[in-house]
Amino acid sequence: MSTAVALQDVGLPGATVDGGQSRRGLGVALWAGIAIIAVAVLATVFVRITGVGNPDQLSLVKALEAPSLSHPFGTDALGRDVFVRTVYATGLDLQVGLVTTIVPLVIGMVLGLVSGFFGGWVDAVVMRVMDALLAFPFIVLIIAFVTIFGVGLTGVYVGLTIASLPVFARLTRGEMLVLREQQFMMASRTLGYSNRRIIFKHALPHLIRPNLIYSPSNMLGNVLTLAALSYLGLGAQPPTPEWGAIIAGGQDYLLTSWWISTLPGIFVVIVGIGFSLTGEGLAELLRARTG
Amino acid sequence: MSEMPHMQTETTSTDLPTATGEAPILAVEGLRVEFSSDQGVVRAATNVRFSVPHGRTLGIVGESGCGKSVTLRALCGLVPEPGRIVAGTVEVEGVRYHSGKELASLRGEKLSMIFQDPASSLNPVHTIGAQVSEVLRVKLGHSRRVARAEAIDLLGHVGIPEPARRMAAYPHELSGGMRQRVMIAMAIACRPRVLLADEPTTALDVTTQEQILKLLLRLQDESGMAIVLVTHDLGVIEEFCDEVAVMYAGYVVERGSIEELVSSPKHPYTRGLMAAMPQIDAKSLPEVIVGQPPDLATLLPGCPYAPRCPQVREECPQVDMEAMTVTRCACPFVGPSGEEAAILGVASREDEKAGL
Repeated sequence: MSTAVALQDVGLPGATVDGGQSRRGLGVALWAGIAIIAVAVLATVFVRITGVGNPDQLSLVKALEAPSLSHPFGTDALGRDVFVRTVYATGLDLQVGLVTTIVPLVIGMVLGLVSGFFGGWVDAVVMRVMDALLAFPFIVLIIAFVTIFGVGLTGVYVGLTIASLPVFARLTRGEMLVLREQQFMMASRTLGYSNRRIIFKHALPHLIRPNLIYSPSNMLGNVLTLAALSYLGLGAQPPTPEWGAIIAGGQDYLLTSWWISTLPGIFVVIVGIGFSLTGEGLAELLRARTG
Repeated sequence: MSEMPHMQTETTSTDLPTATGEAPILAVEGLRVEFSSDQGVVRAATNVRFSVPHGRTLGIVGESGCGKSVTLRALCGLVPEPGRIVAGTVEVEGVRYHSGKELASLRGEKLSMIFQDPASSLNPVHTIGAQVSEVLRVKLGHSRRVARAEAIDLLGHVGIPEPARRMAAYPHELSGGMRQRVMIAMAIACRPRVLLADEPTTALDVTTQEQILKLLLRLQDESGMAIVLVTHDLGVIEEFCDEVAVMYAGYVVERGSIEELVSSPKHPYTRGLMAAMPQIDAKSLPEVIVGQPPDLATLLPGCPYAPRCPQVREECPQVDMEAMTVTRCACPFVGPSGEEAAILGVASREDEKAGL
């Protein structure tokens, strides 16, 4: 859909004016998003390098303390500082989220480009495989990979990557089917360009945008799935700090010590918003550049 | 057009070198394009035959859906799925090509194409400079710097003011006429021998249309390339083409030099088209050809124009169109002076003699 919109915009006389205004507005979104992510990343790097506050520091005397200046997010049942654990966990969660989004983004786009461009049996084979992956319940699929690779993060990485593939592939293929009929695609064929050049040089720039817009939600979804897996005991193993594990750990105390689950949850939401803003901002930047 | 008789020989004998020994640059022989669908086989082009000599322009006219564009696409091996070239050969500079795949190898170098809508035939995400240089880099192996310099030359050559500055412009920053010029620059970058133009001026206003066609003629004079111009505008054909092929329902129903067709159109369809053209000094309104072109999936035997033809007769469904398309006029019932011809094919041979 976004390709079509982008192409329509090309012909509109007012496009430059509107583009100028929204570019400024979206610059703010982009910078806000980047700022949020930067703060989260810097914080986790700071905590990890300086060792200010140990995420695994047990102190049964301080167990279940309410948020205070010394412990902004309070402490959990074992007296560990929830804020330090949450900030520390950012590193792991962002890493899992990024890897399981960028890798399937690249592979999925290539699959979608190729199957959308060539159609025929290539398309049929690729898309049936993707359908099969989509048809699996997400969590069951990942649990299957965790079973293969053993409990721990390897299975989570592989499982999340493969589970994320179909959406990127389908999204790209759908856009490619529309794009393929555009006259400039036909024109680039009459100029005798190779299929590879047409796909990657002429079609790819049009298809990055929808994928980029979808990426932050995929990333968030994967981080939450990681949390669910950790909760099930299949992801990050205790005592490794991980957002999902921290939130899940507070579940038993939700009525008495609400902060253990709630405050890290809000933290996750804010970082998530950061990614959404960044994705949106980047997409608009691309749109503005492509006219 | 003083060399009229000379041209006549070339149009009527496609597969042989002409009397002057000059072979046509492009010769199409028995081209047949079919689409297989659930409803059966659709014959988009049947037994199409024409040739274009060095430095000449062939116009293909006809209503929408009569096989003009499909024929053009077949020439560069780009028949859209599920269509395919079933039979026929295409000869470019004396070399015969039998399949779409073989023809595809000519694209960009010997054979180029320009399209109807310049707004969408350039990629909106790349600058025009990048797009023109790309042709030179990919097809001629130029370095970035050489390609850039040559691209500026090319843009200047097709009449783009301040080409060096325009290199950085995106397609949407240019007018329709300018975009079509850029498209032409890309199409002629490798000095093709054949330029296929699919209604290149339909989307442009009349003055721009004139400029673009004049540009094409100038480029043709310089390089001697053959142009195949598909259009439904008889005015454009009359002004810019040397020869004409009239297509109807996938058949070439009449071929000849522009003078012949304008002064003495033979086929009832050609006459219908001529009569349907508005004339400024006409005393009456143009005559409309009643009805629609036939559905190619359910084509009846015999002449496809029979249902709309004002001179239709009982024998029309028995006409062997395959045999008739070889000649100047595919209607066996019109002789050189309008009298009936008794035997199929005879009329046309007499035409040739008359033409010579």
